[in-house]
Amino acid sequence: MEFSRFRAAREEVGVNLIPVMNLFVTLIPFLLLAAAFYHVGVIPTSLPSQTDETSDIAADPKSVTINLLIEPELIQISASSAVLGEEALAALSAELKKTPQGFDLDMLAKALYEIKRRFDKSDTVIVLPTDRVPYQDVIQILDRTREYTLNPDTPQEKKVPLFPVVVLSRKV
Amino acid sequence: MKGLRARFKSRKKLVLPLTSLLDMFTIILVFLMVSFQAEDKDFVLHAGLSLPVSDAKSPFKTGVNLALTQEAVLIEGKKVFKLEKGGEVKDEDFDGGRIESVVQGINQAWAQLKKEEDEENIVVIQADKGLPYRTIHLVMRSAAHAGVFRFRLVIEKE
Repeated sequence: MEFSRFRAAREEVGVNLIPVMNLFVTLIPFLLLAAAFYHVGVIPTSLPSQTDETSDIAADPKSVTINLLIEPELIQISASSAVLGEEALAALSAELKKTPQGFDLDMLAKALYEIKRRFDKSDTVIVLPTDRVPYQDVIQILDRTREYTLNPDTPQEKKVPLFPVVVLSRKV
Repeated sequence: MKGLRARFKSRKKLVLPLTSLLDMFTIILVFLMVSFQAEDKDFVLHAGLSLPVSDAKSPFKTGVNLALTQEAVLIEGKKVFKLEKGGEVKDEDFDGGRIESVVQGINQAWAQLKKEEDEENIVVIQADKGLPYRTIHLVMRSAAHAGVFRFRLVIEKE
């Protein structure tokens, strides 16, 4: 009797962790197989089309199609529309020269945002890089044509969509 | 007395200290659950290229996988066209607005893919970030000759 009391006092009360361990050992290989350590995404794009039914050129007075000519040292912004006059379209043109620090892509995004504010139904940009432009530069420029950040680094920060429909062509 | 102590010792249970191991497993489990991707993507990233970095958030969509490395054009992992130094395409290889082997490669890949009737033809392009744009455009033009006008440019998310 004396000995059983002594034994009960000395015994540790522990949670049985073996079933939890079994579960973890099963879950971990499964999750390892399905884990993505390299996150990839895609940019949807198309080649220019001009048929009787479809065209990449805007046909609405509230929209324009942006043409972005990318040269190694210069980006030219222009607009095209089936309904707007030449003067109205010429007023939307702009140029960005490359500086020793590279292109000022914030300026590009701002210029596109101003066009989007005036023609809010616009969504298409035709990108025309020249042959020597590296692919990474094209992708970086596309990133800035997709959306514009209003009031960056403030509590009022807001992302505004610009021209998410990308048509890739080439300047010959 | 000595006999009693020995008997008492032999009845003690041997318990492995699993708490620290369980802590480690919990951390690994949380990390893996964050990295877990439930979508079944029929996509294999080609080892010989470095993808451009982008903040694009468009969801992945499957299609014919076309990889453009600095050395070659591969369709569904099969080399179909050799590129020149610096990822260039020789003018004589680009005949009538297309690279013939790329057109054939895409046609064959479409024939092998099981497609729904209303599914759109899409080519998923994973291209090396250092390639000149001309090479990418020539491959896209060749795809257009195979009846593909829509593309997904694969990028590495920022």
